[in-house]
Amino acid sequence: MPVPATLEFFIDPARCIGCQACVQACAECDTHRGQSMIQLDYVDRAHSTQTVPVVCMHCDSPTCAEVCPADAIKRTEDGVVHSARKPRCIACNNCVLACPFGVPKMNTEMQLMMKCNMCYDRTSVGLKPMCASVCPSQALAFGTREEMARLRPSARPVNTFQFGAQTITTKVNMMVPADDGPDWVDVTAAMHEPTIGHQMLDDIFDDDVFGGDGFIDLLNDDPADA
Amino acid sequence: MKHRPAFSDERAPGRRPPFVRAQRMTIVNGILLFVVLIVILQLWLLTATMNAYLGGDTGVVWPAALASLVCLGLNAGLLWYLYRLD
Amino acid sequence: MSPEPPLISRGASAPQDADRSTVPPDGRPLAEQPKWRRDFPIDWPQDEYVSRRDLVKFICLTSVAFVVGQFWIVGKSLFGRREAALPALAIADVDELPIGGAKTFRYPEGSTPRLLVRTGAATFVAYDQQCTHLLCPIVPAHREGMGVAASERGLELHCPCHNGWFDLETGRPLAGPPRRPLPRVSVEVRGSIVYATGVEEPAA
Repeated sequence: MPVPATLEFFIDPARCIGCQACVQACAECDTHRGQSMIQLDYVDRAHSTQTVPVVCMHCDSPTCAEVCPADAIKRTEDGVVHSARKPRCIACNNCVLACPFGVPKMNTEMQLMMKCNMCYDRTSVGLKPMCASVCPSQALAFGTREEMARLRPSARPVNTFQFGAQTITTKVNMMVPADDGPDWVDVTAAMHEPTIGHQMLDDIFDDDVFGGDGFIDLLNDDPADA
Repeated sequence: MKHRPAFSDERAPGRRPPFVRAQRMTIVNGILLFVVLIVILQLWLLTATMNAYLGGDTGVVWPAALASLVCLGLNAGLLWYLYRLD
Repeated sequence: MSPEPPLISRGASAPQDADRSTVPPDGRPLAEQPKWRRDFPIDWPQDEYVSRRDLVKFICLTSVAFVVGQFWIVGKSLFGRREAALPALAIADVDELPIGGAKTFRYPEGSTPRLLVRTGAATFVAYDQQCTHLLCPIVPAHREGMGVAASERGLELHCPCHNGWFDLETGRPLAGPPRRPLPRVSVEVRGSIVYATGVEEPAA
């Protein structure tokens, strides 16, 4: 049974609180029990605690499958890209290197590439994937578009990404601000922009705000002086 | 259960939309069944002919070879149909 | 963000094959794609279809192999028998064997052992010594049983492995597991020398 077409996956990185609940819940999924397929990435760890969960975006034109020399990565007709098929995977790591989102993981012990398959055992019967069912801030959400429009009036989903010359349309949506958000995410251009977290922290710990004494300096101050 | 609508009307003209994949899968399974049956028949023909030939009965050799050729013709016909399906 | 539109416009308007959800990276329809892309589809159901189709192709190839095998047998039956007549070979002296006595020889040189049996004053028969059941060597012997004493029955050829019996005059199987007659070697007595002159395959 395919995943119902009305149900979609929505990622809102701004809502992520870094609680790691999705990472733990992912390992409970029966299709890859004990193996967590979610990576919780820090956007700019030096300056921010902002995290973002990385799940498979299930591209319309999956680069991982395009580069697979063993023809092992398959996509079901509902658009879900699955882990490499065990009899075919040769553990060559091509998909791991090729994926623009950095999703596939090589399980060297099993000689098998494993990746998020949107909890196919659950979503194919209309349940939420593990991560979306536990996320306390619903940074990972699974539901209908109407539901999302009702719950997040200030955000809208975007599923087009630009990596250099490569345009990627995905099944999974990324939430962007509804009013001035982009129509597509230009990832390579974004790499050259200062991260939002950086800007925010610069703002927060600005000398003007803190009255000439930055957060870092505050920590380095001898407590005896205070 | 299909969730995507069939675009059979939107196909380029000239390319007949014969069957959707689920139907073609059934057809290829049926063809596979027939082809396997015919090949088993050919295997039996070959072993029986070899047995008869080694036993000194050469009269059966020509008819058996022609029968096997007819079987190949049937297989080729089924395969041609399968190619036409794509 | 960047003002330009995506570099490759891939509208959903392009009428894709209804059965294929995966879009090739260049966005062109599948009919314009190279053949390998059609042979190695990313869509799982299509992949199953292709592998099933290729199985049919492979079995048809097996079918071709069977026909080749059949015609190989035909070729064997047409041309395989045209062997050059074997030269006569002296294999024994007439006086060398008593009546009912036997001797092995090889004819032609290097063949499997053959058995020469003297059946009368100037009559000899010769057969391949290998039993047609499981290639045990046969020996001349008298058969016992069925209420007939061994001495009352004529000499026959006996395979001791599985108690097979052959007629001495014709080489036909009489009893036991063998189903096919023994290949016969034609012999000729010239003066006091016995010559082997040819091998008669039972199939011929």
